Amino acid sequence: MNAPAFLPAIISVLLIFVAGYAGWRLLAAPTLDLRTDFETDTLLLAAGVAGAGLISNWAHTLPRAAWSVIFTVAAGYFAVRAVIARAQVPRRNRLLAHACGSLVLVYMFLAGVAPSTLHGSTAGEYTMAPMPGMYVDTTITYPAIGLVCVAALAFYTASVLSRLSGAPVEGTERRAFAPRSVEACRVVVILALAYGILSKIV
Amino acid sequence: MTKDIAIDTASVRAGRGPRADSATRSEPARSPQAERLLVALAGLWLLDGLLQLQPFMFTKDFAIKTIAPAAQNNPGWVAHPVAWAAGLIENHAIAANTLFALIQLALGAGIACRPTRRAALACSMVWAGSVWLLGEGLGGLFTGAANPLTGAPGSALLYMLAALLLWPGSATTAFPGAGRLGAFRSRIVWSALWLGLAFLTLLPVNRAASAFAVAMTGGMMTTGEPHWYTTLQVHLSKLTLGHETGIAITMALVLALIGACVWAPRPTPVRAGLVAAAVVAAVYWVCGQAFGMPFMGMATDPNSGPLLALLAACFWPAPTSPDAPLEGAAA
Repeated sequence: MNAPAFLPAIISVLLIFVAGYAGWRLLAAPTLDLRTDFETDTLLLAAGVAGAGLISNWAHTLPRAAWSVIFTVAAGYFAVRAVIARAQVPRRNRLLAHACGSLVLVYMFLAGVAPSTLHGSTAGEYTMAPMPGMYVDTTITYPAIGLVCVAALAFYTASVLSRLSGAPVEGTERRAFAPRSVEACRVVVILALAYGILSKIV
Repeated sequence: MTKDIAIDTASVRAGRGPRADSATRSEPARSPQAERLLVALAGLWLLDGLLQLQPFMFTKDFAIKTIAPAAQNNPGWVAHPVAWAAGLIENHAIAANTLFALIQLALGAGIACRPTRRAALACSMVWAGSVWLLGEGLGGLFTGAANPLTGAPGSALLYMLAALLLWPGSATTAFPGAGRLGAFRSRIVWSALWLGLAFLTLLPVNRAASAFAVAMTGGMMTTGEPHWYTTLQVHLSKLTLGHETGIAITMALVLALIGACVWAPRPTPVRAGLVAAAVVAAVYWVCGQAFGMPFMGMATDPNSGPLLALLAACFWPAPTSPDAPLEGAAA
C-alpha cells in the first residue's frame, strides 16, 4: 500500500523548503550580522534534502551509502561536541538531539526507507491488507527499531513545542536570527522523518 | 565558530521572560510533573496523528477492518452509529483520513503549546469521546466480552480521562492529576477505572478455558511481528493454559488494590500501588496488546497500556516529606 500521491509530495516540498531556508540562513546570517546556530542550520539543510529523497523519487539526490556516511559522521561529531559541552545543559541536550536525529536518518537509509515501489496509489481503494500477494509494498528491515524511533520523534516534537511556546531567547550582544523559525523547521523535519518510517511499515 | 542561540529552558521553567509572562497569563502555573505529563499526553496524540498517516488508513479497508468490527455484538444504539461512521469513512476514505490525521496532529501540537492548551484539551475530550463511540464501540463494554488485557475500556476513554485530570488548575495539589477536579474527585475517577477493570477481568468470557491464550495470540495479534516477539507471546500464553480462573481472580484482586491505593493516608502505599499500576499496564501492553499492533501498519494508537501508565503518573504524590499524610486522603 502507499499513501495518496499528494501526501509525500507535500512533505517532500516542505522538507526542501526547510533545507532552502536553512541554506539561506547560513548565507544571510553573517551578512545581516545576526546570531545563528550554524550546526543546527547545516543539519537542517542536510536532513531536508536527504529526507525529501527518502519520501519522493523526484527528490532523490545522493546515493544511500553517501548519505549514510554523512549522517554517521554527523552523529559522531554531535556526540563528541555534546561531551565537550556537557557542563552547559541546554547546549548539551541540543547537541545530543542532533546526534540522535542523525542516527535516525542513518537507520532510515540502512533499513530501506524509500519512496513506494507501487505504481499508482492504493488510497481510496480496497486493498485486502492482510492477504498475501495483494498490494504489498517493500517493508523496512528492523521495524521494531523504526517504531521506537517514531515514538521517540513524536514525544520529542511535543517537548520542542512545549519549550517553544513559552521560551524567551537568551543573548544580548546581537539580535538572534529568527530562532523560533528554526525550531519550527526542526518540528517539520522530525514529523516528516516519522512519516517516512511509518509509510514503510505495511 | 558556532554561535549559540539555544532556547533558554531554565528561564521557562522559572517562568521568567516576556513570553513566559504572556504564556502564564492564559495558563496557570503548573508543577513540573504536570507539565511533563501534559507533554507526554501531547506526544501520544502526535503519535496517533502520525499513525493515522500510514498508507492503510487511506484505503477503504480502514473502515471495513478497523472501524466496522467495533459494531459487532454491540447493542443497536452503539452498533448503528458505528456502522454509519464506517460507511461514511469507506465512501470518503482519503478525505476522512486526512481530516482525522490533521485533527490528531493539531490536538498534540495544541496540548504541547501552552497558549492553546485549554482549547486543545477540551477539543481532545470531544474528539476522544467521538472516537470512543464511533470508532471503538464504547470499548466493547456492552458486548459482554470486553477484556482489559486487550485494551478495554478503550484507549479513547483513557485519553478523555487524561485530559480531564490534567486540565490546568491549581499548582499546589497533592498530585499532578488533581489540578482542576481536586484530589477527592480525581481519586474517585481512578478507583472507578481500576475497579471497572477488575470487574471486566472477572467476566465469564475472560476466565474461560484458553481465554488468556486467545487474547494474547489469537486473530491477527501476531501478524507482521518480529519472530522473537511472537515467540515470547506464544510462550507466555502457554503458561496461562489451565490456570485461567486463578489468574483472573488474582488479577482482579491486584486491580482492586490498585484502585484503592490512592486513598491511603501515606505516600508510600500510594506509590507502591501506582508502581503496581504501571507494571500491570506494561504487562497488558506487552502481552495482550502487542504494543498496539503496529507491525502491520494498521495501528491507530498504542492502545491502553501507555495511557494507564500515564494516568498512574497523574496520581504520583507531589514531593513533600517522605511519609507525610496526603491531602484529602483517608485519615
